[in-house]
Formats: sequence, structure tokens, C-alpha cells
Amino acid sequence: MDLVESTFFVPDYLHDLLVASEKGLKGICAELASILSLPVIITDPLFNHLAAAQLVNNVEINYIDNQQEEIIGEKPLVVNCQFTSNGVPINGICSAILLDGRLRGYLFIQIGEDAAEKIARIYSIIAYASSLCTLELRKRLELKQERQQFKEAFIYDLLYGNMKQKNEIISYGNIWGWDFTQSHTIIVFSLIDFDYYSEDQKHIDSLFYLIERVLIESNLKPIAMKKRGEIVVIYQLLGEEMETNESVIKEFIQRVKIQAEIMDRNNRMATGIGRESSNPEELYKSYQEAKVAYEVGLLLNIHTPFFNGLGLERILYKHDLQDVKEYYDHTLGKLEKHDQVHGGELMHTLEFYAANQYDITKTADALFLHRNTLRYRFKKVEEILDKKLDDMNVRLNITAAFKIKQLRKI
Amino acid sequence: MEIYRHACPRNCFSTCGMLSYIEDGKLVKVSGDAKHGYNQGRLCAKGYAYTQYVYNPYRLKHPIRQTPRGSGNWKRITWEEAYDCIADKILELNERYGSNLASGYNKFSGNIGLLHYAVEGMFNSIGPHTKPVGNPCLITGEQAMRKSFGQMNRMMPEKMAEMNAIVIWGANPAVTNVHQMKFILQARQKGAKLIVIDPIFTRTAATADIFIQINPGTDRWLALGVAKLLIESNMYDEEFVRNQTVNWEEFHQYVTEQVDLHEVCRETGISLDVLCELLSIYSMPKPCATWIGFGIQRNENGGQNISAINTLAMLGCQSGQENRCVYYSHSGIDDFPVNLLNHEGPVHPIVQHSREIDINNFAENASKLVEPPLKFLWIALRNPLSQDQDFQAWESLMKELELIVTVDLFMTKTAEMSDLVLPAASHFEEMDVNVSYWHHWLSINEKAISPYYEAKSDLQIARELMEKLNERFPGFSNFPSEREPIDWIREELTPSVKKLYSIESIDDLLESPRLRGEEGKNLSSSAFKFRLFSEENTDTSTYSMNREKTDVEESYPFQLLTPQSLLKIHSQYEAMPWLNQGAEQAVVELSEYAAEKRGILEGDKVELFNPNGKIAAIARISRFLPQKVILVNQAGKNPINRLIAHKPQENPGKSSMNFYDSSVNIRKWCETNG
Amino acid sequence: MRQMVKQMGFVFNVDLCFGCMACEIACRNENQTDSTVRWRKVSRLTDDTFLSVSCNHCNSPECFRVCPENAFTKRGDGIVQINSDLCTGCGLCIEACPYGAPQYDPVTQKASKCQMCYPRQDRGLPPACVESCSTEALTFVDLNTFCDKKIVGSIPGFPDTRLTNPSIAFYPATERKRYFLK
Repeated sequence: MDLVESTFFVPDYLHDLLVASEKGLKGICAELASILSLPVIITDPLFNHLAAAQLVNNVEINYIDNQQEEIIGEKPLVVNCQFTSNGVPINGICSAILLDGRLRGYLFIQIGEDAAEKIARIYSIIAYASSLCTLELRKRLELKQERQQFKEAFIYDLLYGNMKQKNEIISYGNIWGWDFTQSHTIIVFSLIDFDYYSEDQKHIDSLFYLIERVLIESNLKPIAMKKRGEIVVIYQLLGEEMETNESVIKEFIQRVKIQAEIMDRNNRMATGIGRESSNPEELYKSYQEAKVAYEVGLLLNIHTPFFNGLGLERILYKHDLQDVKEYYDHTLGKLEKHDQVHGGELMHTLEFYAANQYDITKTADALFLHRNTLRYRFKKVEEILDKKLDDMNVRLNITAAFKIKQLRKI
Repeated sequence: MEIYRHACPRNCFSTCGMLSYIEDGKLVKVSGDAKHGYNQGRLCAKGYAYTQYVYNPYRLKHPIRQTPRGSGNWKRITWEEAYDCIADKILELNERYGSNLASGYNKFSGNIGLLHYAVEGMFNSIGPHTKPVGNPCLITGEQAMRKSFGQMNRMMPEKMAEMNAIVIWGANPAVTNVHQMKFILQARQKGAKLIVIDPIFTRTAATADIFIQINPGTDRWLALGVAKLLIESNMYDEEFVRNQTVNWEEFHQYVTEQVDLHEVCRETGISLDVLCELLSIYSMPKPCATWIGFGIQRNENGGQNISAINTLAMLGCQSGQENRCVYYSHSGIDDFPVNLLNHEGPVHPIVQHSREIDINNFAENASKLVEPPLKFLWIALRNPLSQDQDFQAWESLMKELELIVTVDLFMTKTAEMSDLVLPAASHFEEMDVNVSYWHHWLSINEKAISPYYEAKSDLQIARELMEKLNERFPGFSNFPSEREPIDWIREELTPSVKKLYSIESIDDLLESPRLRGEEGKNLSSSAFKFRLFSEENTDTSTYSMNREKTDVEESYPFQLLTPQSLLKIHSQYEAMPWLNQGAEQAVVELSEYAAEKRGILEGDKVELFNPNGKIAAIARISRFLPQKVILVNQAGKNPINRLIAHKPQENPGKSSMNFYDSSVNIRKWCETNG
Repeated sequence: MRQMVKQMGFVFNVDLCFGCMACEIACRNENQTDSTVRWRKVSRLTDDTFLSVSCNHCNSPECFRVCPENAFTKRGDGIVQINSDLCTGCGLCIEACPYGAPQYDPVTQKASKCQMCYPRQDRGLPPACVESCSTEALTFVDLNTFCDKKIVGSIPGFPDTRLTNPSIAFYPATERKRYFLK
């Protein structure tokens, strides 16, 4: 009976440590510190603190005495090390945290002036705690792998603003190595006239693969997902300057485009770019902007439409539909009606005039018409609209009205 | 949440199994009963609106009395007062005339649950009285079916899904029998052809592979024409004709001599090519269903039309008799004793029988009654001032009546003209048991909620009123007032019913609706003899060719058709906002031809008139309507039936109302017309 | 835990719909909406076909984009929801939606719309409209995985789908023969 008791006796402190490991590395750290009444620090391999307990001052880790590399051997040993606390060097001991033979971090105990004899007695518990840390890291890794599957769900939630907490987004992003403390912008790719029920879905698949490759080549960790006929890229911006960023994005899109054309000559790829956002919880706005830019880009034949660069169209696109219609009717309604009744081409002519910056010569060249013919037509337009075409405000209204027409709002 | 089982009791083919969801004694939602094999867990739009039906601001809450009648000067009274008033009248009339013949009722299909025969049971229990007989709806066709087949067919409508062709003559299930559509479209998905023959391009016609538009009432010509083609091309089933028909020689001679294909084409308006297309369907050696709608028999050639279609269906489909299916209706109620309907009342010393009036001419006949005249009328489960014909006759009848009592859930046109209106319970507030006149399912209807305010079921009213009469005059009625609804239901479940539906007790029905067992194949038994079409009376020839145009036809050149609308049944459901989205104004559909002749434009206000009256409506011009047909949906604030008054029929109680034989004229509305 | 990204959507078979309106009223029965609020609408598409439409839970919902209060969310299963606590009833979404999905509720003075019966879906039941459709003209699927060659993305009479990418797909109508009286 005594034998049984002595053999299978589990000391309370081991049990307490095990229970504390429920609370992760922090739990282990706190419990160990309380058992030993010594400060404890857990770090990653680069000595960044993951958890700490009973520290009096800020502690920096100076070096680990690991000349024989025994710390990461088959049977890791506890080795000596040295910290600096508040500028004062302090002695410590340290155990490596290993997972599948790879160094994942360290467990440090600050021992100060304690006797070597006492220290030798705690080696075993430190090794035990270190194993608990390994288990904890394994749990984390498994979780991470599991979460990998939910990458898409995470991106999706970012795109629709379903996550409201910046910290949550940042830590989730870390799982995949994405840094959401940096600015990002959304780039949308799609195929013109995408048809769900054709081989277009395959084109999207290969385009997606291609985009990921280009991103990796640009030393970016791809944050991208496919969404029924659409590829959405959350593009990390490294520079501060907006203009630099734009040219970086242009270059990126150009590379995608060139490669897409190599892959498929009839590539119908089109794109749209939202505005930069340093708040990841507001990336959904950038996504919506990218889609507006995409649509407007198609309508106005803009090759690489940045939402920022849209100008007037951007306001018109977002503006109340009814009001926009009324504005259009007010500006060009009479002329349109006149054309319908008399079968004229005044609208068409005026549209070219506006597109050519109200320059008679350029317009005449574009329409293969004599300048006098144009002059005659514009006189007629002025009569119908009862407005002077050389008035800047009139020109502004006409330009805006034609943009409304182009935007298919009418 | 509690869930109860119900059967939708409306006058509708589907008689759906329904579940109610009750929270704190309130109906919060309904759904179809997934255990019901016909509606399979779904309802129609009307069915899904039942929460609005039950808790409708327009629903009658209390017994009310108006003085004088028609004034709208309503006063709430107690049930006691109502019963006293009615009992006083019945007893006084009994004393005045020595019998109860001066008391009568008019009741039809507002709720087709078996316990709603409580109205008949109540009147039977006071001995001889005045009662309506017959059926405005489908009886002409039923007679014709019995004549052709010797009995009613018992074809399961679910089987339509297995057919290779379905020919629908004048039925519009897409509006009136929504749940049948799934079986039809299932067959169609499997490659079956759906053919719809109708004067109207109905919603059902729109789903058809082949739609054949026909001049109204000329179906028998089409059927006989195709039958002639079948015979001439020798594509009919000779063995069947030899062994199982009774009048082949006569029919063969008739078709050969009397049926001229040019005439057929002219009468029906259908070209020979199309006749041949129909021939190819009916000569297909595969299962083919023919469905005859009730609309076919709403004219004076109704019986003949059905007999001709039956004949065509039986002659064709030559690969065996089981491939011949003719659907019309199912007489499921015949299996039941219907104890309330058949309740035997006390014997009167002098008067042996009740007085019977043809329901199709009720008002006119009732006002002619003497010795004694009809003085007290009980109206239940019916809104004759919207749905009957000949409103003028009703107006004069009502003048003669000393007391009119209407039992209803809503203030109908008829209730507006009554002295007393009693609030009726909805089917969620009473127990009942239901069979269908189409499918073969039996369902129980549980009581799920307590009645709305003071509403009562017809049975409850009968129990209480008869008790009241007996208090005043012991032994006046022999109605078993002590019997509870569940007792009546138990009595309907006779041993033969239990066997037929494989149930042991009422509890089985509480578990699930039950399907009637199939009997042996009727048609293949050698005893079965089919009667081929034969021309009956000479009066049918009024519709034949070369007839002179009468004066009436000159002045009222348009035929009025009044089909059901999708979101109502007759005048029921008028008060439900979910079902009445659009304008409340009545709409008249007319052909482009009629519009041009009368100078009417889309949306114009028009007036539809004939000697019976007139109604105003908004014109809708249809590209698809036959030139001389005018279409108005039933019911509404100014019911279209105002324009319908039909000549008395020869066999009282044996024919349906010829609603579709009405002629009208149309003109643009102007103030001076009024 | 997050779920896999889905896009639940409606599939509408034009041939099987005859405009019985059961879906529209079943929606009202389920959601007990005010009588002016029509989350689902059945309308005539052509002389012989009908269309039943609710919110299409678009891939790029306009309502989501235009809402100044950010009251809309798109769930992981693709359902677009409106948070009525955030809605001010400004009506921008009602104007912006090409399908008339958001409806102004005069009682609450807010916009409301079809939520694809997600409480029912969470219990493993189909949306009420889908359940009510007796001919199965209206069904619902995960459009991210659903595939059928007979399916088309739009039919004549349906609003332009390019802007919002609605989560609805169609089986188009087949040819029929009509013999009208002359």
C-alpha cells in the first residue's frame, strides 16, 4: 500500500500547474512564478515576451549560455542566462520550448542571487513547465491550422464589415501572417459579362491562381478570395505616399494583365480599386468603392479605375437616382426630345463637343465635319436649350449630364 | 407553442390538411399538413392568409339586430335575445299555420365540413319545413358522369402525375385547384403533354404545351369531331366498343350522319389541323387523363358536352381500359351516413313531407309559395345576394319574409339585408371532419382556439336554439342537443368507413389524415358498360348551326363568363388585406373586337347591362378573349351575379346553375346612363 | 466558430410557376408583415409567365453600399440582413435596390426586407416561400456549389443583374403551342 502511495503520488504543485495550463501560456507562467516565488518570462524565439509574471521591472534578455547547443538537444537541459533589469544585469536560468524538434520559444526564470543548490532543485519543475508550454503551443498550432480553413470566412467578414474590433482583426490576420496594422486597399478583378453558368468560372479559377502568384512575387502574402465571378484582393500598401502607392498598384495590375493575356488571349479581365484604409474594420468601404470603380471603369472605358480618380462620376454614381434623372432632364431633356421628334444628331454632336473639351477644331476632326457645320449646329443647340455654350457653368452642366448618361443612370 | 390539425373547409377541390400554431390561445401562424398526401404540407395563398381571416377587424363579434331591415341601424344583442326572437317567430308561425312549413332555410357550401349539416339537422328536428334541394355547382356533370359510366369514377387525382397526356377541358386548376398543378406539372416534367381546351386563356392554359381556344359551350362539337376522326381512321378500341358499350350502333350512325367536320370547325372556331393534333393525343396508346371542369356544364348543353367528352376519352387511348381516366369529381361523402343531414324529425299529423325548392331558383319559387307562404328564412354558409342569380326575385322574396336570420363570419351582402345576424365560428374554433369532392383523403379538424368573441359554430347554434325551443314548447324539436361535436364525428366513423380508411378510432385521424383505400378496378370488370354519347332532347339543337338570331342576342351580343378569381372563393376572403392589394374596383375584361366596336379604351369606366340590371367597372382589354365573351370575376362590392337570371330548369334538383348562359351588352359609362 | 462561406440563393423555374401567390402569402404568414409590406412579390412577367421575387441577397448588395447607417450585413451564408435598430427609415436602400426588396414599413417607420427565413434555416427548414411552393418552381441552393447546365443567370423582364449580382438563378420557359380563335 505504501508502495502504491509513494509511486503514484502526484504533488499538488504539478496538478496546479496542469490546471493553470488551461489558461494558456499566461496561466502556466503565473502559476510557475507563484510556486517558485520567482519572476518567470515566456518568450518567442526572438525573445519577444509572450507572458510574464512577478517581474519588478522591465526585463531584457541579454544572452543564453548555450555554447554546447544542449538547450535544443534530444533531451533539452536547463541552462544559465543573463538579463538586464532596469540597467542592472541579473542571472537567470532558461529552458527551450520545442515543438516537433523546432525551437518555438523560451521559458526564463529570474533567479538573482539564489544559491546554486536551490536552483538545481527546481530544474525538474522547469522542464515540466516547459513541456506544458509545448503542449499549449501545439494546441495553438492545431487551432491555427483549423483556422486556415476559415481564411475565406475571415476575408468575407472583412469585406462586409462583419468584424468590428480592430484588435480581433489584427490577431486573426496574424494567423495567416497578415499585418492589418498596415494600410490596405481592395482591388476587385472580374471578367466583363461574366456568365455564372459557363466555363467563366474556370477562367476565374486560373486568374485567381495567377493573382496569388503575382502577389507572392511582389513579396506580399496574398490576401485574396474568389466570390462568384469576382476575385477580391486585399492589397497591402507599404509606402506612405499615395502617388507611389498608385503606381505600385498599377504595376501590379499590369503584371496580372500581361500574364492573364499570356494565359488566355481572349481575356476579358477588368478591375477596380478602392481607397486605401488604415483601419481594417473599414475595409468593407474600400471594397464597395472598388466595385463602384469597376462598374464606372467599364462604363467609361477606364483601364485601371481608381475610386479616388473618378472625380465627378463618383459623386454622380452615388447620388440619388431620381435627382440625377431630374438634373439630366433639366440640362439636356429639351435637346433629346428635339432629336427624337426631328431625327436630328444634335445630342451626338454635343456629346463629342463636350468630350473634346469644347474645342471646335478637335470636335470637327473627330466627327469628320466642317467647322461651319458644327457652328451652325451649336447655334441651334443654343436656341433649343436657351443657353450659351461658351458659359463655363453651362459647359459644366452639360458635361455632368453626359456623364450621367454614360453611367447608364438614364 | 401548441399545434393542432385542421382541414380547410372551403368549397374547393383541395380540402387541404392544415396545421395551426397557437401561442397563448392565439393563432399565430398556419402551415400545410405534411402528412396530407394531397396538399403535402403546402397551402394556397388564401390558406396562408388565415390569421387575417380569424383576427379580422371586420369579423362579426356579437349577435346583432337591425331595425328596420337594410337600414344599417345595428344593435348588439345577447345570444339569449337572439334565440328568443327566433324561437318566438318559429312558434308563432307554427301556431299561425299549423305546421313549420312557413319556416325554411337556404344553405350551401360556405363550410363543407360534415358537422355543418347541423343546419339541415336542426330544421329536420322540428318536422316538415321548407328546404332547398339540388346543387348549383356541379350536379349536371355528376348526372352526366353517372349516365356515361353507370357510377362516379373513383380516380385518385394524385395519379395524374403518371399520365402521358393530360387534356383539361374547361378547368383552371392554376386558380381553383392549386395543389393539383404539382401532379400535372410532374407529369409534364417527365415528358407528358398538357393540353388545355378553354374559351379563356387561363393561367392553366398558360402552362400548357398546347392551348386550344374554343367558342364557349361548344365542347361537345369538338369532342364529337375528334371522335369522328378516331372512328374514320380506325384508331378506336374495337374490342372495348364491342364488349363494353351499350349504344355503339346508334352513336356510330349519329357521328357518321350528323357530325360534319366543317360544321365542327365553324361551331368551335377550331381548325381541322388542331382537331388532328387532338386526335393524335387521344389515339396515343399510353395512359391519358381527361379532366372535365365544372365550367363545361354551366350552360344548357352541359350534360351533352360531358357525355361527348367522356365518349371521346373512352374511344381513344386504345392500349387498355385502365389507361382511360376521366376526372370530374369524387363523391367521397357517399361513404358516410351524414347523420346531421339525414336526421329524422318528428312526424307531423297532417303534413307528411318538407317542402322542397330547387336551390337554383330559390328566391323565385319561394316567393310563389302559398298555404303557407314562406315567412322565416334562415341563411347560413351562403351569400345569395352575391352568389345566387336573379337578385330581383330575392328582393321581392325578402319583402314577404317576416324574419331573416343570417349566420356568417362577415357582414356579407346578404347579412346586410337580414334582421338578425349571428356570428359564426371559423374552423379553428370548432371541431369537424372533412372529405373532399376531388381527392380521397379524410381529415379531422380540431378545435385550436376558443371562438372569436361570441362566435359559435353552426352545430352549437343548432344545439342551443333547439334546446331553447324545447324549453318553450317541450318536444318541439327532437334534436339531440346533449350530443357533443366529437359524438357526431364518432357516429360518422361507421365500421365501413373505418375499414375504408383503415382507422380504428378518431385518434388515428388526430395522428394524420387518412387516404381512402382503393376498390377493385371498376372499369375493367366485365359488368361495366359505358354509354356512348347520344343526342337527347331536341332542345340541345338550339345551339346547332344556322339558327336565327333572336332579339335578345341582337341587343345583348356578349356572353358573360364569371370565373373564380385567384384570391377568393366566391365572395369569401373579401376582407383580407393580404389578399386584396390592388384597386377595389371591379374589372371587366373584354376582347379587342368588343373594345373597338364600343369605342372603349383600356382603363375606361364602362357599364355592363342587360334586362336584369347593370354594373359599372373598369375596362381591361384582352388580346386573348374570344370576340363575344365578356369576363368578370365573381363577387365584389357590386356582385356581377346581378346580371344573371336564368330560366327555370326542367329537372329541379338535377341540374347545376347555368351561370354562363347570360347575355350582356357593354358601353362606356356616363352619368346620364344612370 | 465561423462557418464556411456559402451563398444561399433562390432558383426559379419559370415553367413551373403559374402565379398562385402562395409564396407571397406564406411569407406574410411566417413573418406577419404589415399588409403594405411585401417582402416577396409575384408578378406577371409576360402574357403567360410569372415571376416571384424577394430580396436576392446579392453578391454586391446596393442596399449595403448606400446605407448611411451601415445597417446591412451580409452573413457568411450570403444572407443580407438589415439591423432595424440602426435603420432610420431614410429610404436610400429602397430606392437603390433594383428588385424592390427593401420595403418601407409604415408601422415601424423603417425599412425591412426578406431575411431568407434564417431562423427557419437555422432549424434546418427551408424558407417559408420555398416550402409553400407546391410545384417546386421556387427552390433554394448554395449557389457557390450548385451547378446545372440548364440554368441561366437572368431572364427577359428581370432587372439588370450586372450591378448587384443577385443570388438568383433561373430555368427559362420552354416553347408552347397556342391555338387562339381567329
